[in-house]
Amino acid sequence: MSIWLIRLWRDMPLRTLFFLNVLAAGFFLLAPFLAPNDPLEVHADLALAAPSTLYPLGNDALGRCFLSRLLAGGSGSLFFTFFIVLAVAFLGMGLGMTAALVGGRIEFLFMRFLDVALSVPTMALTLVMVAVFGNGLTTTALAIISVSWLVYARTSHAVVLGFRESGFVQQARMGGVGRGRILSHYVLPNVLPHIIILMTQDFGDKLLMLSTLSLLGLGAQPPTPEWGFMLSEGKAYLERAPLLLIAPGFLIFFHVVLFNLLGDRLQDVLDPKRGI
Amino acid sequence: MRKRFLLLAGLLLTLSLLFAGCGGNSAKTEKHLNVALFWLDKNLDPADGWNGWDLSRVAAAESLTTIDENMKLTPLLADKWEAVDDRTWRIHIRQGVKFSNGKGLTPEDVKKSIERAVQKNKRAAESSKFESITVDGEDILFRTTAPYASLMYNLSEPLFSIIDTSASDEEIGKGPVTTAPYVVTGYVPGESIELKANENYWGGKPGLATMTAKLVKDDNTRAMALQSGDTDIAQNIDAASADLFRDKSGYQVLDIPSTRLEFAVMNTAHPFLSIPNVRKALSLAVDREAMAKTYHGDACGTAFPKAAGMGFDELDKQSYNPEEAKRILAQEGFADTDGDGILEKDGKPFAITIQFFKRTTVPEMLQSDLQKIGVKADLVFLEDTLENRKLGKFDLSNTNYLTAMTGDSQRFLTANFATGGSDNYGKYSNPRYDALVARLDTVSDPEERRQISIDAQKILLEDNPYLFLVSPKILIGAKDSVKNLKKYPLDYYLIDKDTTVE
Repeated sequence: MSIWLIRLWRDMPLRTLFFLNVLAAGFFLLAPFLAPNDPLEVHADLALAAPSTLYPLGNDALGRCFLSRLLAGGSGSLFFTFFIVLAVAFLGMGLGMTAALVGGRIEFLFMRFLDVALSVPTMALTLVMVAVFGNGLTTTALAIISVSWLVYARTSHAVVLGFRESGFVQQARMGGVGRGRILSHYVLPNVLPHIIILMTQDFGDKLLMLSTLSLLGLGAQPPTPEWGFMLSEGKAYLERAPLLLIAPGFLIFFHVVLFNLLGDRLQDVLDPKRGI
Repeated sequence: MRKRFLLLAGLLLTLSLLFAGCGGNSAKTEKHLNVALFWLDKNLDPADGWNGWDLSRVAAAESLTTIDENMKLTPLLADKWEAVDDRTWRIHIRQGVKFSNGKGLTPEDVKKSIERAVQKNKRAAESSKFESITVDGEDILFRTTAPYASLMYNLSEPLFSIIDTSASDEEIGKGPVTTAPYVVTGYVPGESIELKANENYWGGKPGLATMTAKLVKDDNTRAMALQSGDTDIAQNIDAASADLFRDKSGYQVLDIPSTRLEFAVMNTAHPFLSIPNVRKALSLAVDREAMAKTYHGDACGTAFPKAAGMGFDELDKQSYNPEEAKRILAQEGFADTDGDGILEKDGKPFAITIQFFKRTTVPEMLQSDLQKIGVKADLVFLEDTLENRKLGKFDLSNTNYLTAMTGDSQRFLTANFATGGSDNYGKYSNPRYDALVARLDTVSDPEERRQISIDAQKILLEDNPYLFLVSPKILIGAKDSVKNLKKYPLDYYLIDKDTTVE
């Protein structure tokens, strides 16, 4: 583990990308404290007003401070994306590793279930789950989680299979180490790097998914600001106030690209074929 | 010399080609109009659903009566009528009218056409209440099952368009034969209609030779089609797009006060909303003027917008008064006991939902206004809010209607607020109100009907079964070259025989 950390730290592009990501995400996560105005306060007189000193990026269709909404929207989008990615990783990894270690009929049934579930397009399955859970940011996040852990389970299962029968696990077993301890001390450290790469690459995907569902009116509900939802709000004012559409669109794009770059670099650096 | 001759010949040839080109252009000066519509159904049978409205918008269907720009009932295929008794109308069919296929219009055709509509469409049956239709020479006698004074208004709805019923249902679905200024020559279901002028039109030569009407669903795309020159008229564009064409050379924007009204139905079965004073407080909490500013409409706290001519100026404007709203709620026993900004009564928080189907600024403005007096309102977006209204599964349900759909008040006032009314999903009931609107069945004098409508609205203003909010303006963007566009407050009228291009 520590060798990996050193390897990660030594890579200059990765370090830069990591700091950029922390900076960008951190900025928006702190947004509620940085917003100059209340993002929900309506001023009918200022509907679609141009930028001013009080409202640096102007106002939206209801006269709300657009900058404050962008900041608050970012904290909503990013917080929920982090939450989704952490939850799916935890859930998928836990179930995948357990299945691999338990083996037998349970493993067989679990893997066949994964095969079937993974053959359905994720977006279609998510839409069905949203219909079941209902509209809203939290319920949409739950819907995404309920269909996205499958990939993590399959990956962790595959990784564990690779060394399930290898010497150190067998020796631990013979030495009387319990299943829980094998899982946490012997298996997890080997699975984790793979999962971390997957998580970083998945972040952009989940942010897009959440935004798409909000854009369709299933995710965030008014007046909650969220980038995807703000895109759909801004669509109607494309000609008159293009910033309402461009700004949230750009921010989604920016974060997706940033996280994808980080994920790719992470994979390259952690590639076992790459020399230290 | 030879060179010069060749040069001259070449010049002559070029000029002749140029002029030939001009000749080609002059042959093309036939007046053609492109229209971008916001709605077009899957067939053109006027008796099916709301499809008659599609035909009416492109002047391809006519009814017995029509509603003019000033919301006055006007003769069309019926040139005069009288009430024989309180259940019988004698209607004279205009003479000299021909269908586009050259066949003369007879009272029998009218009878068959209207009977077909009643048979095919539940709405037609409800808004006509016919017991019998008989032909008497050049007249038709309509007898209703009960006194029904608004019949002549209701017959103006494009649902009752007069068509040649000798065609099959399939043919009618592709474009009925009517008496209107334009004839359907081509139709791609749900996409476009091609039309040409009706040579047999009874009202003079129509202003255009041909017309193409296309469905462009998205508001922005419709405006962009006008901007790019793909269309001459963009129907119902939004306020933000309208600003692009306003005061710009080459374009005109028609800003029409409509009879459409945004409102929220209140479920009077809800424990808190069942209290009339609570409903009153909610109404006082709404800043309609502010809402109108973000929605490009007019504040409207009454059941009928100003354009409907139902006494808007004589009624209370329901001015914004959140302090009074708070006072009333306090008086009713609501207080914020736990300091979370939301009022409670008997330990229950005043938290409701607002269901809505169209993303406008209205639901969010309403939510924000209610929040200010301590009422928590969650917004719930639904594809269709009607279903939940029918099931009684709602607190506040936001929708919009043409409340004076055929220039008359009776249908809206009765269906929505009379006890047991077909659209009275909020279960409002007031015997005094019921007795008053029942008179609309028998009173046929327009002035007296108007007075009844005003009195009925006064009761609604006391009881607040609905939150009446804003009346959106109809915005039509068009090129300057389009002439004689009229400002019809009813949005099922758009093109008429006078519309032309220069």
